[in-house]
Amino acid sequence: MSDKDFLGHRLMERRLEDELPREAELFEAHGGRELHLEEVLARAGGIRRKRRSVRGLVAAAVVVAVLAPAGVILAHRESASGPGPLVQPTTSTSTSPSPAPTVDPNTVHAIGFAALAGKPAGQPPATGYVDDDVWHAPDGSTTDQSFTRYGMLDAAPIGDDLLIRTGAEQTGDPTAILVHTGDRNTVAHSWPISGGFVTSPGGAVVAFAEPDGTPVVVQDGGSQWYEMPKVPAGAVVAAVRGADCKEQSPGGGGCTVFLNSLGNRPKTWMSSSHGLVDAASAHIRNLADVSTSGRVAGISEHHTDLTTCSEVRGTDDQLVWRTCDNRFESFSPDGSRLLATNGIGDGLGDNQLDVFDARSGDPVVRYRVADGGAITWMRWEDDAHVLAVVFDEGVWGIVRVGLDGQVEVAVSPVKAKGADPTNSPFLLPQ
Amino acid sequence: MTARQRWLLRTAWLLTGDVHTAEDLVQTTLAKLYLAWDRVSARGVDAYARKILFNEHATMWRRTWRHREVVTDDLTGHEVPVRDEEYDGTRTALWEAVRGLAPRQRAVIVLRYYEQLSEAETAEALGISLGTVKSQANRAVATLRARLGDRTDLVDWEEE
Repeated sequence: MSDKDFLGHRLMERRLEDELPREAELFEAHGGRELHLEEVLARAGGIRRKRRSVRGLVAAAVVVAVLAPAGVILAHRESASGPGPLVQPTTSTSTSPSPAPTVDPNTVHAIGFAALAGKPAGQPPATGYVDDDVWHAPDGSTTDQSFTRYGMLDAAPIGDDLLIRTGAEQTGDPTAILVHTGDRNTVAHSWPISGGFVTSPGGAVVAFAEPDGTPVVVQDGGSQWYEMPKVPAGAVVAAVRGADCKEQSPGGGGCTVFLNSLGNRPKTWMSSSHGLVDAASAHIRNLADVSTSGRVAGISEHHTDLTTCSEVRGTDDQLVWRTCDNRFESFSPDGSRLLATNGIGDGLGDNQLDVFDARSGDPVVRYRVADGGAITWMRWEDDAHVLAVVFDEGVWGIVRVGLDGQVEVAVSPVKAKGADPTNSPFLLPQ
Repeated sequence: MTARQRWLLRTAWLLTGDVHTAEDLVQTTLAKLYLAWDRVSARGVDAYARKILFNEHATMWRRTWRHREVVTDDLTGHEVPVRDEEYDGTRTALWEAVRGLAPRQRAVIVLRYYEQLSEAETAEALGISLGTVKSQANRAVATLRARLGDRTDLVDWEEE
């Protein structure tokens, strides 16, 4: 480091030492407030309830491990009020859609890498995946995207191209870039972005929102993009439906982007290529997804102890069913199932992966990661399988879980890189 | 709890740059501190609280953006615009530049230059290696310099 560089470095350090304390004192001026003891205790109660339920599951898992030889499914039930028994994962051998599952929906299946060790890994994710800033396309080809200085925070394939959420080179501001992967990673276009990406069923359209509330859709394999009617600034996308957003296209039909406005007055929006902007639901405050048939699913109540209640509503916004035990993730591609996770979002990381019948709310299959582990990403691979990025026993991997209770490794677990075990190397595309 | 809460809220504000998120982070931190109270020695409370806060922040960042919490309607008084006289142009630019840093770099900056922790203490608090702390801090300072330039007029070197 030259003298000039050293001086400049020290100057910046001094500025930070002087000015960060001043900025910290402006917390109240920005509207910050002191927390009340009741709020803290309510949150502690929520965390304790969640830990208790996880501990119960782990205890059951230990019993299973002691009593049952590997691969043998226990058929007994716990008390009627408690969760069903945990079973050792069995391995799936196919990613093709399976017929209606025959699994007992009250049985809780364990996701754990120890139990899967030595068993053959399944096919890599049919959706593609990111491993340490390298995109592994569904066809097996790989593209190193580490040229993005801030790494890949989100990815969505569109044709042979790839949309990446990263930080702008100079400012670090959240940015979406469209990369021609087949053309030496040429950046075709970039946009400022708020939130992440969503993809239409079938993958023909990827949508995201600019910070000023303009939804952007990318289609035709990444060669076309359009701006949709604007919603309030800061909204983030929840779903996109339709295969062609070009209004005058021969295929017709148009498309609709669904968004969430967060903050003090959460609200849902739909922005259509026909030029319409309207509320997506009068009852749901945070949309998780919209099915191809027009059902909407999302959070309807959010309490200070972090518990939530979620609802599925029909095209007429009438309640179909609700739960206060889960938060919804996404509908299966055919819209018949609904993927869900923990009802309490307390920052521990989700440990539940549940699938429900989208029409009735009846449970289809339930999975759990043991205490200390987490599921950080989950999405449908097809109508019968879900992919999940899992942290368990200090390693990260991608597993494939079936509606039939079967689990297999889709991407072999690796030890977390660096000294920070919470840094996942894996991402699944949105 | 009040004094500790003030400190945690300020650190969380610098870390997140968002009032709601800072309050949410501290609420979870204090709740976990409360649950672990029996296991924490009196001397280690601050370090333990700091560790929870920064771990929670890392977890928040990792969580899928779709799971960002929706705050309840009954919270009022947020996002109050700060009077112009609270800022001069320089501080606004610096604060905006700090907010634009990658989360890990911002965490290192807050611990090193606000909390005044040593590099080793920062590594311990974040659960990362000493080398990572050094490289992240250097990279963050370089980024800030690139964005803001070197302003020699802002430091009175006679004080040194």
